[in-house]
Amino acid sequence: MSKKTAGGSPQARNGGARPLVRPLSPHLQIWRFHATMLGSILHRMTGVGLVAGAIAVVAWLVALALGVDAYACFVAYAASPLGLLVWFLFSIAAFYHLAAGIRHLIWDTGAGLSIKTANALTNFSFVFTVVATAAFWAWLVMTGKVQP
Amino acid sequence: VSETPLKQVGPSAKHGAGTWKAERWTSLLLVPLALWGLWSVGDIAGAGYEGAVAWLRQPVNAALLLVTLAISAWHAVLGLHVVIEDYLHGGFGVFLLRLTTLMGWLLFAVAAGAVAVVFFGLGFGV
Repeated sequence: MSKKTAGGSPQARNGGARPLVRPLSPHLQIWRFHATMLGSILHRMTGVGLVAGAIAVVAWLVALALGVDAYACFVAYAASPLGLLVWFLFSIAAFYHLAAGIRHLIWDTGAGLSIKTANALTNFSFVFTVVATAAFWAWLVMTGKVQP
Repeated sequence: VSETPLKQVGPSAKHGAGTWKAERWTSLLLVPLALWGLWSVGDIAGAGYEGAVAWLRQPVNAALLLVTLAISAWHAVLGLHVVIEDYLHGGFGVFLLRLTTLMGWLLFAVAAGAVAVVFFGLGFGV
């Protein structure tokens, strides 16, 4: 945690007397704003959010398995304004996590890691998210599958 | 930039290299599967109970949905583990790691059961 711990092995530093206290990951408030920092935070937030979305999908499957009455009940919630907001946020999270994930797969090959390219890839993933989410919902509404 | 070519990742002392590879493989597989899932929303939204059942009774859809849910659950557990390990050290963190793994299995088991009920018509409905 403190700068005094720099240098020497972890065990040597505390003499092996106490359980080792390793530093935690950097917390949000210590970062100066930059594109890849925002991209990283959003990647993590959307990842956790998608878990909630996955639970909603499983709830849909369970309602379907329970039969027509349970399904009607599920759809009543799913098609309500609040339900549509949840699906909307789910779709934003999915598109962003998808784009940011592809960006990470590119970085994992060792490519695109200069500051300029890394920022460009990140900004592209933001633009992709907005465009893809808008197109997705325009498609659902214009084909009459979703009534807003 | 990277000094170790991707092909040479691992071995590691414990399960590090395996976890790293699982994160990448699940990501890679989820790219097409997520796009298929988003596309499938168009088949299910507004289709009602009959439409949703008909969709899920197509073997391709049932199989792809199960694969998508299995890989998603695995990927989610790996991701949640990274978040937990970053911010929680010690007993409670270890407890949450095990709890998320259990939740991943449970969620997939429930989903697989529901798919089976609809697919084989074991249900309480139609």
